[in-house]
Amino acid sequence: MTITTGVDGGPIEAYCAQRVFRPGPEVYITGNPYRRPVGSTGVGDLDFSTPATEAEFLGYRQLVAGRILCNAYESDMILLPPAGLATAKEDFDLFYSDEVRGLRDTIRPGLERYAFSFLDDAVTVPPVRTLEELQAYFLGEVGGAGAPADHTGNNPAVDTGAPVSGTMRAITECRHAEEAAGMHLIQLALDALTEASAMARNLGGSYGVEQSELFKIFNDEFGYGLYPAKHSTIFKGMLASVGLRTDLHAYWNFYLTSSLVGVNYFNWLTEDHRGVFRYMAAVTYLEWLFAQGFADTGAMLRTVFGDRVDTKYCDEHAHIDIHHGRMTYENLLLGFARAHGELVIPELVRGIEDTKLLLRLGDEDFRAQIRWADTLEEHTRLGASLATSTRDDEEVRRLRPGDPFTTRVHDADRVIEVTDGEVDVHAWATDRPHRLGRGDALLVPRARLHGLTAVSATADVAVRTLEGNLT
Amino acid sequence: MSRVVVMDLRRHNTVLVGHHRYFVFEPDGRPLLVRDWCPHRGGPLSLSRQTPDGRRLVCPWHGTKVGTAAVKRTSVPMVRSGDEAVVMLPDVDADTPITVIHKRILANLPPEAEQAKTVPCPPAAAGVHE
Amino acid sequence: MTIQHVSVPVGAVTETLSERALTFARNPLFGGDRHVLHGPNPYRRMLAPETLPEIDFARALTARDWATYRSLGAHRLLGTFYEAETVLLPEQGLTELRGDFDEFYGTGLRHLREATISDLERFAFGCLADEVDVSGNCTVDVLDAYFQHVTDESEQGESPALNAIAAARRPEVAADTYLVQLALDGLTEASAMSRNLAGAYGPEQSALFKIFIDEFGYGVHDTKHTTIFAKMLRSRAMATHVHAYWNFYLSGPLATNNFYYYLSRDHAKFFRYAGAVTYAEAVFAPAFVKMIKVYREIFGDDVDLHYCDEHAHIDEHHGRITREQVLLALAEKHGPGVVPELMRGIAEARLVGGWFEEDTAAQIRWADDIPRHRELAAATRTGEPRSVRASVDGPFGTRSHDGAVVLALDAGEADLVTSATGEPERLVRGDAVLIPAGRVYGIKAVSPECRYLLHPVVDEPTT
Repeated sequence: MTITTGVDGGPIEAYCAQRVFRPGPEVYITGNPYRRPVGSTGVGDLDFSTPATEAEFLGYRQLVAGRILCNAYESDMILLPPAGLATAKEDFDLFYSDEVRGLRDTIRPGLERYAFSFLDDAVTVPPVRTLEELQAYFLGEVGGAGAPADHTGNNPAVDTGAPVSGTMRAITECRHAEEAAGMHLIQLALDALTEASAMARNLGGSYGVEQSELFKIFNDEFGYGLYPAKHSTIFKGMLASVGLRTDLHAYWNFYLTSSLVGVNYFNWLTEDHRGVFRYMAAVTYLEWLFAQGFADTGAMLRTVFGDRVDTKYCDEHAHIDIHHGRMTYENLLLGFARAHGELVIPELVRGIEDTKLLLRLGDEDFRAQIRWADTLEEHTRLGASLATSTRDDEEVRRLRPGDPFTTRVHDADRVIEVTDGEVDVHAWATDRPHRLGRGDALLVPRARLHGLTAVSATADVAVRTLEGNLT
Repeated sequence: MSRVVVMDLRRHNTVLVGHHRYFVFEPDGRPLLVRDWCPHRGGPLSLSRQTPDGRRLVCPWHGTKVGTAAVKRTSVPMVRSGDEAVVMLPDVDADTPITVIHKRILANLPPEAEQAKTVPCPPAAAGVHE
Repeated sequence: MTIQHVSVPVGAVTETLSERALTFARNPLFGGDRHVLHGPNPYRRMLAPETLPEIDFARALTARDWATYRSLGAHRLLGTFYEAETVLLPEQGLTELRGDFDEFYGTGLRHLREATISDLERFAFGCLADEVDVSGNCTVDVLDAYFQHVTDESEQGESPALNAIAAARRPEVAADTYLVQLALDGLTEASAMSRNLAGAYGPEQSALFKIFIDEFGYGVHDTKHTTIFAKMLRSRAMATHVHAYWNFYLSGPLATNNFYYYLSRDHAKFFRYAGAVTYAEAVFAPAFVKMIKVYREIFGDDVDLHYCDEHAHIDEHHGRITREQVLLALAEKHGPGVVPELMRGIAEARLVGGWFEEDTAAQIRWADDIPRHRELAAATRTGEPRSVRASVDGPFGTRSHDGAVVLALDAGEADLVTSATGEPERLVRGDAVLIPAGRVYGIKAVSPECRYLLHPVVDEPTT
């Protein structure tokens, strides 16, 4: 085991320099849950001292901070490769080592501040003070989000026959609908393959009836101790049915910034127990929305993949989250308000408002990614036509097959031009990445996640910033 | 082949058979050994409460209502003689662990006996000395 | 929760462990109050900051130090650190305690904890590496043979603590002392285990969760183990909130409780945890059978032992399943590289469990026999004393000493408190009592001011 220490430039650089956080040649990472590259050389030099604003939500630094925080939070979980530890023991030792965890503890607070502070400015907490107001507010919010209560007033209504709409519909309308659907599953996988791990942090301790109520939700997620019924297990079944890999973070390189921030948000609230009230409300809001949300996801998947997709995971959520919507609403959201009084109601509301915003931002990020990834041919034509409207800030890279692979976003619209050789552009997980030959130029709008691999023995690319803004 | 288990009904009310649980259910005042398993999600029916009409059990996990008659149909062969019950568990391997225990059973409580939630004992009443 | 700007506590890291520990303990949450029992506020617990400078944190505990003040002080701190990573909310609602909640979980203490915990763990548990060796070619068969051997041994063995209760003059008080030690874990049961549920590690994760389901009473709050544990305390007219009896937790039980958190905080130790928890599950059942027998003899039907019944039976069943689906399954899947770790966990759990028993037994025997320790005080040769003042309104705390001392009341009147529920022993000017090494006691002033002398024992008479 080699622990990289003594790197100049501070603890973030030292953390990112650890072997398991550095990129390797593979696009998809299998058989080793400890390898999760943060980014290419220089990520440790980024400045995280000024918090990201909402406008910078999809910036490169948010992506990098998101990856580092995900690694930080997950080193508090037990991850073992399904085939046994024998081949990954060194990485296991490094990932969980005292030194790496020490670095983690040093850098985590600053990164949390960087990543989540925008919520303080972006979220306005409506004046909800009493239990009655909280009830009215919650039911109003979920109704407004398209998930009203059913006739009982306490369960989320679910219409499994509803036509798909919104993002699910956008997926079905993609030319490469299978890749787009796969990209959606990959975003879910970030959380689903370790499902309920953030929740587990709120099981310890002592806080009365609400603790037991949270446990009941957890119990469903964990399939009552039966491995085949565990949600992460049936999620793997869904992935496998459409030919996707089931290893934890096989698609690490394809998690969008917003997905990382969203999942990290729940880990943050459970890792710092002052967030317990925000967490309970956030989880209530999500569980309630999941009921219809997963019914829609199931319908989308069946439209895209036909009978071959195993949608048990979606069907399970569409069913059980009706219960969870009710249980979390009555016993956690209202339960905490009853047990701890009006003092905590503003924090409960804050959890819901945060989640609303994160869901909206996540949706926008995902829609933009599939829109772009689905039209790389058009963006290649656009790139060619815009090649003369770029700044004189050319960065030139030479790529070779087997080079360390990583994906990234840029903070401005850029044109990637292949000046020699051939490269593949990875904008989502696919067996048919978009190929650029010599002279091709691809427009990569700001915040779009992409990675490049060389197809020819060497390939040269030049990256330039577009003058002005698209749109 | 059936496995035979002898229970002393004064001391035992639950049988653990591998991962399965059975509990002594007394819907009509007569003991039956039934599966402690809600058909919805396997919730612990032994910890369910009866509906006010006494005809159904409300599972503590998701509030699923299970007809008493359906629960009775899960009963396993048993011969009771006084306080002794001889249970014949069908199709259980010889190496499956079996344990006979006493657990809290709420399903046998009358529906009207719904207790108030346990009130935490205030420390003043709990022998705090200074 | 607001996000505060936090600079990296460079200063904290360069300070010594002693300095960091002291800074933490000096937080107002940990200074105690005049009450012997802690009130229903899970954030406040007495860390006796004024006595911590006595502890030389540069010299780690050895496996023979379990009943020392060094151990007691360190494990109180460590236990507080660990519990700050669980969710504690007061039964009566948070309204009145919001400030304490924010402080307990706040950035300041958290930074101190994070800067301190690894060093404190090394101080407290580093000795396990010296005390336990696993050698030779350890296969799954070897693991199973060792596991069967130590669990059989435990089943047939004696419990020093329960024997001490049965032999006590005041068995009720002795029995309560034992309950207090169990309360440390019993009121937050399975909290360490919950830290091993997150992540992704296959069928073994589900098998461990099955045990957790039982601890959590299938999600039915009335049957949660902590709830039925509270019922047992209530049947003895004892307080049920976290941690009413903080001042009476002994170092051995604190170390035992912390041990499971220690293995659960740092997942590099996961396989040791898996060995330890499998051992614990297997030995609980016979231990609770013995406990039921002793408690029934003392209290007849006047004690609610549902908690013990639950463990006596369900753990027997689980013990077998855990062995197969956690211990042996992990060994099969992850190979011979992890088998020694699993075995080490078993051996460590057995060793630390012994500290629980021995310490509790010694405390019970001493607290049950104070009159004789008054006599022994007179027959003991002592060295130069130091003087300690106590006032009736001052904070109450308990402590022990690394070596035996003779405590002699020099001025005023005071109560010597040695158990949570027994009558304290009134001391007047001129009274002296021998306090053997490691025995936990508190002095509660009765007169407005009192002063006592602590004479180190030079030559202890055989007790």
